[in-house]
Amino acid sequence: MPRDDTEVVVTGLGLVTPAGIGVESNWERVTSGVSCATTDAALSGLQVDFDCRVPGFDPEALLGGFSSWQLERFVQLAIVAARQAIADAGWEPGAWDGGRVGVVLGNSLGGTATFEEQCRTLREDGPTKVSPLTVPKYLPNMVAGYVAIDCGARGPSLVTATACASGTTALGVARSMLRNGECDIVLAGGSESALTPTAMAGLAKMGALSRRRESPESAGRPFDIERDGFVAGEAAGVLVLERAADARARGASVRAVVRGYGAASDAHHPTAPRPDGEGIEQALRTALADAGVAASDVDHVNAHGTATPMNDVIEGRMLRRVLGDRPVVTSTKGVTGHTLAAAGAIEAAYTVLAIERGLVPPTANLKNQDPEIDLDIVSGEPRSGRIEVAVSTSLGFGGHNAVLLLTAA
Amino acid sequence: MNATEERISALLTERFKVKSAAIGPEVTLGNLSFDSLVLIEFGLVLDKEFDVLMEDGELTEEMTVAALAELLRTKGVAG
Repeated sequence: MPRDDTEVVVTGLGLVTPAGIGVESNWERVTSGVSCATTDAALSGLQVDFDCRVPGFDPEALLGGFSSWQLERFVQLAIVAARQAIADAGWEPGAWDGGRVGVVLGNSLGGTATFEEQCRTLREDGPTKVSPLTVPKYLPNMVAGYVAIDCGARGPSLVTATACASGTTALGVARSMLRNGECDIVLAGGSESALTPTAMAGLAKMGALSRRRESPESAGRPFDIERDGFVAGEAAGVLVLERAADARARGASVRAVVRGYGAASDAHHPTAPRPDGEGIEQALRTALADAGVAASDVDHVNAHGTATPMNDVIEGRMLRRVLGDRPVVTSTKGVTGHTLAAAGAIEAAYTVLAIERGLVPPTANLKNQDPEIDLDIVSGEPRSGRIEVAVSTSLGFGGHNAVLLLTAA
Repeated sequence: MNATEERISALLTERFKVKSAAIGPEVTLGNLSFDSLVLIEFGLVLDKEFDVLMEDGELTEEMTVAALAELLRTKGVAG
């Protein structure tokens, strides 16, 4: 339940992910525990040639009102997710006061497809043949700009860039904007589509990606002893956030309460998480304090759980240290892959669904849990049980840590 | 439409996702909602397709498909 009228609640969800287009198809796939990873012809010849793409995404059919060729895919995915979320919240764009509607979306890599293509044009055809749309299509903030255009949101709009924590950061920032009274409605979440050869080759060279080319569907193994890195994915997730009093006044259905948020920085290393997990611990403790919730009250954790050797053990030890062994933990990245800046947003949406439906999705491909990670992690089948309090954790390159605390409506 | 107009029409449909029903000799590029940046982009596509050199600013929102075909003819495109 919301504590007071300024508490921020979730009234709508929109999901465009490797697990499907739409909330119900997502939930069905995520609770099945079957990975979405497949070999990708666009990555042929690379060290890692598999990923998790959104299946059957037809921009021409889904993006009425826009010339889809002008939009980079990370923008296309976000527009569709935002439209779903708005409809789910029972809003009609145009029926609202657009000046009071904000947009806060996470993105990290921008339009890498256009950038790579235009680098090739520059090299092969010369500078006068470079597209005038190169910069507008590349800019990460265009995702917020286009969503605002699409739904007439004329309040503040911005993009958060905290790498793989961007989606969670966006939800935290949006919540603050609502509590500060800057907006009455915020479309918040994240989007990413950067499964391009240069970006993927770079991630592979870092050692961040799983190398299981022979069996992509079993490559992403969060918390498993044999995990060897993440599977990269693309996705967009958008949540409609409003203040509790406003949602109640218009008779909206409240799906969950965004009761707490915490963020902290490692100040340690550009890409490696702090070995002691102090940054993510501080973010989690801040979120608990913000929510006024005891660590022992947390029922469920949707963990960052990327399946890199370092992340999972550092995050796992931290969760055990702060929350004990009571919460039921999952990493939905086993199914969706790691969708980078979208991850925090889609995982917040899955956390809302887990609370609503009393069901925790299993961690795909978790067969032999790392003994260093002493947590109750769901594998195999989804687990039923009442969930009142849940947290979703995110860590990003740059040492960014963000945690969202959600409670039942 | 003459042969050049047909080729322009095909480019508009394939590359710029314009519905073929919206294209005709007297339709202007502005009618197709082409803004200044899209006009430059279209010029680059014409460069490649017709092996000509379009100058930035040569295409305008007021230009019709027929006028564009005529412009291409003056640049040596057989139509």
